[in-house]
Amino acid sequence: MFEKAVIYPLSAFIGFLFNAAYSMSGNYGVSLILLSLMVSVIIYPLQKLSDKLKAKDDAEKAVFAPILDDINRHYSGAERYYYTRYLNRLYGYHPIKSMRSLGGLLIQIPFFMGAYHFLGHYQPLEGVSFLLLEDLGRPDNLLFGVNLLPFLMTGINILASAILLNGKPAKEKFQLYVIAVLFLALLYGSASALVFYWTFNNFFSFLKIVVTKLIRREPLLDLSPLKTILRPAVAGHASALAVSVGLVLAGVPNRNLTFRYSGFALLCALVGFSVYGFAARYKRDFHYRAVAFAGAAAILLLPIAWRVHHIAAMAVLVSIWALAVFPRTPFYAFYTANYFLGGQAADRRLGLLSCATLSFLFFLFAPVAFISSDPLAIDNVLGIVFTYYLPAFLVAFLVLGALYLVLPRKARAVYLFALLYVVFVFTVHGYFLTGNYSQMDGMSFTKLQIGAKRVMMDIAVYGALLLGTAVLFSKKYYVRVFPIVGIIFLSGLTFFGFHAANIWKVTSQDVQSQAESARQAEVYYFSKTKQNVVVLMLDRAFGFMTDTVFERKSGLRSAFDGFVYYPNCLSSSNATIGGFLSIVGGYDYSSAEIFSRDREPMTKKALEAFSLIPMNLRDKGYDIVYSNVDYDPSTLAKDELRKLGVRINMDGNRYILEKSDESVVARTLLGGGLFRLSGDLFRKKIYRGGTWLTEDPQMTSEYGVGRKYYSQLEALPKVSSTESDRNNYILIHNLMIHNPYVYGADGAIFKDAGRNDRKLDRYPPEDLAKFGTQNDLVHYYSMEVSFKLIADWLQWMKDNGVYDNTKIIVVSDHGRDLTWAGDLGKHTIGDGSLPKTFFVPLLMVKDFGSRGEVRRDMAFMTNADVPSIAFSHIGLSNPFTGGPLKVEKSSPFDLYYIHYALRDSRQAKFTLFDRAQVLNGNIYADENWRMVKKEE
Amino acid sequence: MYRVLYVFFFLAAPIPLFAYLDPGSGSALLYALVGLFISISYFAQGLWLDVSLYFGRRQKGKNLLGTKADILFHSEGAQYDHLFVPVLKQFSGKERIVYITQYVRDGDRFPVLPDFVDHYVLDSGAKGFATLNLVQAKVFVTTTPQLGVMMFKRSKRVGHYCHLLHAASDITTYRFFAFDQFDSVLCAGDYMKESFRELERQRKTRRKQLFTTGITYFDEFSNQRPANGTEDGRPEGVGRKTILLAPSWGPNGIFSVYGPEFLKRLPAGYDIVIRPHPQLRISQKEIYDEVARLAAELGFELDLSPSNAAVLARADLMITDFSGVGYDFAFGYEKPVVVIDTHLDYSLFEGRFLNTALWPEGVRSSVGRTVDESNIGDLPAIIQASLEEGREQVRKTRDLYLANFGRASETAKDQLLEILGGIR
Repeated sequence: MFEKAVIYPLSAFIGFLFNAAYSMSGNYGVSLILLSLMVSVIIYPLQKLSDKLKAKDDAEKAVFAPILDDINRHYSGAERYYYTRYLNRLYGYHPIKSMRSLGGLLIQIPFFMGAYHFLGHYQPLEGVSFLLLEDLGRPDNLLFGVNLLPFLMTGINILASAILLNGKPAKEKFQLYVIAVLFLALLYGSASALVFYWTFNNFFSFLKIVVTKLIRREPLLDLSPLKTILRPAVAGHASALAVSVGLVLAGVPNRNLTFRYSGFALLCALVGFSVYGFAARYKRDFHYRAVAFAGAAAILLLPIAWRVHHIAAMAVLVSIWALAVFPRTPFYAFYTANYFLGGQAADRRLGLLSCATLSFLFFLFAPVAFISSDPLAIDNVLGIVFTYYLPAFLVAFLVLGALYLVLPRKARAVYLFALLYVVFVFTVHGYFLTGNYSQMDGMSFTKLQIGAKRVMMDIAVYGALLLGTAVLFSKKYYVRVFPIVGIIFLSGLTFFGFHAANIWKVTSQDVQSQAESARQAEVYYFSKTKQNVVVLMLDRAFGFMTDTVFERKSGLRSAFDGFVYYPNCLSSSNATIGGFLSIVGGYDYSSAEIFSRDREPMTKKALEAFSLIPMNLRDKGYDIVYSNVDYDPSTLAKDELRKLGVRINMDGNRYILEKSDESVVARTLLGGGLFRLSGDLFRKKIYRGGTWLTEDPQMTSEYGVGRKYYSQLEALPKVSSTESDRNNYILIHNLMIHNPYVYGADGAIFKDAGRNDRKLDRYPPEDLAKFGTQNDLVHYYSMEVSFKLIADWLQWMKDNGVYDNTKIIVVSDHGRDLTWAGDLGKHTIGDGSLPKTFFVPLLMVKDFGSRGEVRRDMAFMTNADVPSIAFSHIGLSNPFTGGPLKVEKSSPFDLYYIHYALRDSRQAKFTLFDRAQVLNGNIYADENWRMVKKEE
Repeated sequence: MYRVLYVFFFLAAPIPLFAYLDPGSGSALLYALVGLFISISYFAQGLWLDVSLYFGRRQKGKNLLGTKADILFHSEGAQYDHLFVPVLKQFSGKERIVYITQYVRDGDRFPVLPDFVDHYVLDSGAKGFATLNLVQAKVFVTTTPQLGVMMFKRSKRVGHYCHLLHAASDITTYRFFAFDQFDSVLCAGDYMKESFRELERQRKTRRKQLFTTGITYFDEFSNQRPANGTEDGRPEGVGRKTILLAPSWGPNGIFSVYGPEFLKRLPAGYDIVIRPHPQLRISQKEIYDEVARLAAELGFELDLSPSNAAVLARADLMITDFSGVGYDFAFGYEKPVVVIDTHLDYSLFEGRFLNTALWPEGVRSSVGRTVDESNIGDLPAIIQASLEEGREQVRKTRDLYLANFGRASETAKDQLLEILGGIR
């Protein structure tokens, strides 16, 4: 309602202006500047008016402002309230009038909403580059993953505010700074187009202010405080430079990383010393000595730490800088305790409020906030909240509170410090640094990636909060602690209520939502009368193991009724990023083709490959589902696929939750809450690869990840239905074999298994003897387990009468560098730098109506044959080349050994290590494999 | 009503905002709105106070609300009872007189009221005021300040609000806006009037009627005090002299500024009585405990009796700070006072608004001696000198400032009748 009535008109208006600008300039970047200029001109008169109102308001308030200050200084509670009210009445001032001074902001908001809505999601901007900005549709990512433009925007904003309010009270300036920082938080992760536009808005506003001030001959800015900052900042830079030089001289292996961290050191120095500069009125000499000491320590310690681990090096760096900038840091806690011992009792009111806030954030706010984005992932969320979390909150509050009351005074001071620190850590992470970890499925992330950089940043956050807590304990600020914690508690309560209401709303739209969730429970639709095509991509499954699986598990031979398997099969790539494209796009998207189009972005090529079949199936009466497709999410534009009618589904983990009893779910969700509260420093540890820390502590993260992919296969019969009356194309991506570390002989699963943890007594000795290493063994076992799970699904198809009208292809994108290579014999090529086992994928096919025990076919195949086999009954063309789908294999067949991640997520290119070829269409003859010299 | 709309406006605001922003950035904005809670709490507080007043009015006083008084006297606390009773006794019964106390008048310490006075008791605090804000009277006399500012509001059925001063001080140390909404004030002396006028000028409030009245409870002192000798019957100049230390509390109190160790500065050779302000025991308990301990150690008497009359009568000299009790002691008993100047911060009080010389600063040197950190070491000598001085100076000062000493109650009655006549 609000969106339709208010946002759309604004968004449309911004869109109209933007398109007008584009038709004038023909360049999106220039159009953004023009748009900003137009909006600035439009709001100029409004702002003039608002300025006038504000000036009027200021003048009215100025008459009694000193009295109000004294009231606030001397009185509190009801007395303050009554005096303020009387004072307002005495001077004929109604508090609602103070809204006038917000006018400037209020005028901006609708335009901001419009721009946010329009530019934040405007498709044509995607992939468009402008000056330094690679892609206007995405954050700018200018400095090693840090977005610079938002900071530039904020810098201009703050400078403009400082000039505007030069000579005005600090309180007023502070308000504007807070708004500037608010916009930084709001826009930091937004498309650079939006940030660029807003930067120019700020810039024009800055110009307006400067020009006005110049015309009125008013001073622009008082620069004297800068001088105090400048000197230590120079010293800081010099030391940082010394650190960088020290690192380079020490011969740190990775030069690129060295420069990054030097840059980081520089940043630390800049920020730290700027902050310090404000406080540098005292003890300056002492401070310079501390800087000199820290610099020297850094030069000596860093390279040593670097040899140990680069994270250790960073920790050393950060601590040294922290000590240099705030040399008294370690003493603060001591001072704090001392302060209390000095006669000031740790306040009971504050202590109990802290206990309550902590318990509340942990048990009620965090789990509810965590699950609120997808409340249907867990059954009966509110029930869990009331039966598990509410009592837990009360008990926690009583225990923490009782402890507070019984502790002796000295210990209580330290305890209060700890409580407050944790409350602040929880608040900052739980409210603000919530992180964005891509889509969730049930209680699992599609992929949780938290880089070292983010961990470092979070260490800085933890450090800053520690310092901040200590500072709050100083006499000057201590009185503010209670209101601060009070606001945290109250806002937590509100957001809890808000989220809970939302969850209640979503879960209680009874009839409709039940139908909805029933539909959601089923993922795969088969038609009994039309044709179904299933491509099941078992990531990392090995073609050369198929013989062994069917030998050892002979029962599977009849289960794979009507299948043909092709052990003489290749993949042109050793990584999903390459191999998957062949499976969905055929030979036009084999690694050689992808590589020859190196100048085009990967996003384009990937989208082509994944669109190829859907585009062919248009108007052919097909429903298409892509399930759990885990292709580099920054590279594959799933929204574009949706436009082609592809249903994108990410599922499997709900099934784990459905099987768990409620208390386990409650514990798991508590882990989710803690995940939100704790920050990047601990999030990986808490997530534990999907086995949340709060679940069974024996579980390893390998089990967590493995369980997720196992469940996706296990659930297949349960989430399949025969209700479809159309043709179906089902593409499933599964990573069970990619995460094989928990499997054992005969389908055993070890919850406590780690990655190659050398606990070999789990496995039968004869298997170990045959496969050699634990790594080879678990990969083999995972093959067996996945075949068994697939067989159950095949049985379901038979039972439901959809087996014969379904074509099934089980395939993989690549293998892995195993030492056991089965009939391949030698497991590496030539001099041994490149394992063959990377390139031999699984390929099994069951055609419509095919029956009988599984057959072996030694015909030379590659996984790029999949599209043409899958739709041989239709015949495919390549809509991007306009020609028929390429089906000939090149001979020799080219293999590309690449890094599994793209070199640069924006350039989106492969990093090529080596190339190899297979001759004569036979992979089982060692002499057919050969390396390609680099210069070729 | 506006206030209610406000609250709803702020509560409703985040939800539509949340709807259009994606969760990551939306929550950031949402959480930033936390700041608005401060505004909300301001209005909620007002709402709560208003609501509690509204429901309080159903309490008690049904008969009272049906009574229409000519003159209604209101005493907020037992410590003010001695202020009103002498005035009540001046009336003849021709007028309908109502006396409302927010405490129960039982026991011997309260004098019996004349028969023609209707006496009602109300709850103390908000409940009592809720009823008080609805009473009927032609003239309402009280010594409670901040009419129409705090919970004490003007009743629509009262014709005239009159304030009767309860200390021989001035308005300097009253909290903000204490007298703004009164129609008249019965002043202790003419010296107060300029301050009232100055505040009226600054605030553009209605011009009050100001009467030169005096302090009513001094009437009793002037009648009872023997011509010579002390009140306990001991002839003057016999036995050890008694020094009373009666400081106030808070950051400007003697014990906060000089610490409980101040007791060690008191000279030997006297009977020393410590009478700490009752609030010290509540608000500054640690200081109080230390004072009590030291007093016991030094052999000083700690006086905690509810009324100060006995100890004031007994003492030969009082040491105090900014507390108004010093003037009572000096003017009422004509005995010397030593004022410890703790440099009171007047920005907390109405004194903030007065740019002329502040009355207490000037007058205290006329009724006794002033001590501050520069001459605190001379305290024993100053005490000795003060005791030796005659009462003449105190008397002269009193006559200079304080009006109608010994007949303030009668004056007050006449003035109230004059006000009543003006209303009729």
